[in-house]
Amino acid sequence: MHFALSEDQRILQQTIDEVSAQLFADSPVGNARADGGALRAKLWSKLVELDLVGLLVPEHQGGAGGSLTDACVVAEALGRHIAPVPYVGTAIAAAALLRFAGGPGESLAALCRGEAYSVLLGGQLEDPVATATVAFDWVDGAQGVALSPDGLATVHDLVDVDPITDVDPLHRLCRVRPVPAGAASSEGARRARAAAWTGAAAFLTGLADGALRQALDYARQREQYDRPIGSFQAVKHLCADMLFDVETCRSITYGASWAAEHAPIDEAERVASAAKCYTGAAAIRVCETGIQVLGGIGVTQEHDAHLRLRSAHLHHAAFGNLDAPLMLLAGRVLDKA
Amino acid sequence: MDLRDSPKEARFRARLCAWLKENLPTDPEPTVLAERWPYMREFQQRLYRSGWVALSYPKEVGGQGLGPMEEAILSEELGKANAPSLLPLGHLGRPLLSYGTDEQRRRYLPPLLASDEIWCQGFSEPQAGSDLASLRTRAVREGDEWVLNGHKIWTSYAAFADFCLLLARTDPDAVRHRGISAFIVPLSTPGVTVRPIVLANGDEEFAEIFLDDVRIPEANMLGRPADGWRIAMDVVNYERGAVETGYLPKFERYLSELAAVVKTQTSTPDRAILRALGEAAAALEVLRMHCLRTLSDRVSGAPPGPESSIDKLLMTAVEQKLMALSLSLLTDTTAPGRAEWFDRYLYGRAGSIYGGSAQIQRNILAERLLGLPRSPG
Ligand SMILES: Cc1cc2nc3c(=O)[nH]c(=O)nc-3n(C[C@H](O)[C@H](O)[C@H](O)COP(=O)(O)OP(=O)(O)OC[C@H]3O[C@@H](n4cnc5c(N)ncnc54)[C@H](O)[C@@H]3O)c2cc1C
Repeated sequence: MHFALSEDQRILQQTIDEVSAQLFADSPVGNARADGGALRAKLWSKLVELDLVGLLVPEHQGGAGGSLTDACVVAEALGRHIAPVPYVGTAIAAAALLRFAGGPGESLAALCRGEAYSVLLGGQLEDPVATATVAFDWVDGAQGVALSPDGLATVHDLVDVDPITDVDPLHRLCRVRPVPAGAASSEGARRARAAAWTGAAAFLTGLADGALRQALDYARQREQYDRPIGSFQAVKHLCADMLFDVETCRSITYGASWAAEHAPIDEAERVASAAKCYTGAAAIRVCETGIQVLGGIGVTQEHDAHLRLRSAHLHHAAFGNLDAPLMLLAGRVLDKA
Repeated sequence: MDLRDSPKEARFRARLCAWLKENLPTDPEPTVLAERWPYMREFQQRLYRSGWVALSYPKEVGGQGLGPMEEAILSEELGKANAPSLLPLGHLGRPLLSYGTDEQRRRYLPPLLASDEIWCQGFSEPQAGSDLASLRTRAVREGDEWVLNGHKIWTSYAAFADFCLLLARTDPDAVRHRGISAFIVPLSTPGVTVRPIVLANGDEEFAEIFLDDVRIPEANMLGRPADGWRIAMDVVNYERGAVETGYLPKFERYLSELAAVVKTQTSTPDRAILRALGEAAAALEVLRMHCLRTLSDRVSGAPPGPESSIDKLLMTAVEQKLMALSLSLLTDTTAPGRAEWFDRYLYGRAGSIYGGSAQIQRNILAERLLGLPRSPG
């Protein structure tokens, strides 16, 4: 047993951080709200060029043959920058569904080339039971992937599209004409769901880590009462709580990134569900605390802290918010007792 | 990342599981400490004799010469098997291993690891709690002896212990933490008085130790003069981990006991209960993964540093979440086990106090890991 990122994974992390930092220095993420998708497209094509969109897809199917842990490293780094790209929805959730639940090979290959695929969920962003009505991480022209009632990953053209940007304008949802869908019962479908939970957890971890870094920078610079606010114990403890949340999120997320891919399916689901519900609650808490440390500027549209918090809420809600993973965990504990 | 057992780890796990199957006590763990202590000690001694304790200590001192990952496996399997609690003293051998002379390691470590001799940790004093560096117990050199005078408090298991790892001031002129040394004090030495203190839950877990002209040989200093602070920091860093203290398996057992409570109450638990159960299970899963990560960092041999404050805060959070769950399940005044769980809940409140309070852990994280400006103290 060994729990640590590899040297390659650390370099990958650094690469995404550098690419994002450069891109967003010229054009802050907030611009993505009204640039007609330009920033999103630019970063997405960079990710395709680096062969990171197809990380979860084996090489013989057109992908890069990476691991879920690799994909989580990318998702965390993107989350750190609130990157306005559909990485969790497309490169992790849709790709996992197509790969593990018998989706069409040509779609998988197209996804790796950068074509847009959203995952289709229920109205509360839960796993759809009979019909799927909302496309998660939707971009213009995307197709949708859902489990069909007979349990196979199926690709749908999306019609009657009606984008929803109320909570998170950087990661869009879209109401679509309902398509028939089935619940995850096969091992492949369950593994795909575990991967989606874990991918969301990685993005949430990144969002939280970004909030911590922003709060720290500010706490060191901003002075009140002739001292940096970071010297007040009340502020220090807020920052310590954020650090605690970020590091524990990392532990469960990377543990899940391994388990969801390699462990027996029951264990895979258990660890992934813990990752999803823990990081969802923690990331919201950390983003809220980050705003507290920033003071007034944190609650304006001039600062991106609200975009981060918005994104945390969206990813917390995705794939069955807290409830689906908590019910799974409770069921497991009761079965064992 | 590879959370699979290596072939060697898999063999270790299989042998351990087989042993546990044959050797778990069949009578339940007593709830009152006075009865629980001999029960835990007996089980721990049995574990030791079969080679399941002190896994990551070298063989020469009575350990198994294995690594941190075997410690993780032990923790996991004890939890799965609902094994009795371990004596939460695993961290006290560490300073002897790192700072002891060959002579001291040979004399003290094997019986400590075997639980044939029990140790306790004499750091805190009435005036020196969080501010440990302000401790006042004095050690004065007279010939080839040290003479100790002072007053220790909150010393866990002192009433059951044979030896105390004790901090005392040897250089009153040096600034605070620089004048402190560590000593090995046999509690049978004349001048030592141990007075138990009763915890809120009724357990006599800790005690006061009064030291009146206690004379110990000069060879009983651990490390060199003024090493006391470094030694103390090493000890608390180990104490803050959930594997070293045996708390991870204990919490796993608590969760399955609580799930059993739910099952006896209803076959259709409501959503609020399922949610609370799920949250406790998730928190434990986080603790398990965090411990694996921490122990993997230690494979290289590095001792834990200030990041152990995260482990400690997490361990406390998990315990307190489990206890909150128990309260919400046992609202009926006639529910069996209610009194015991309430006592455990009370004990859970100590988690954010001992080993450095939750506030002190946050100070450490903010100043040592995040580099925010230091506060006084
Ligand atoms: C069950 C139990 C077992 C123990 N076992 C041992 C043992 O075996 N050996 C041993 O040596 N000690 C032991 N202790 C003692 C323990 O280490 C101390 O209780 C602890 O360090 C706190 O000290 P105190 O109780 O004097 O509280 P104080 O230090 O007086 O703290 C009181 C309150 O003030 C807060 N506070 C203090 N300083 C600061 C600060 N700088 N910033 C913010 N808040 C602050 C604390 O967080 C706390 O809330 C044990 C304690 C308990 C409860």
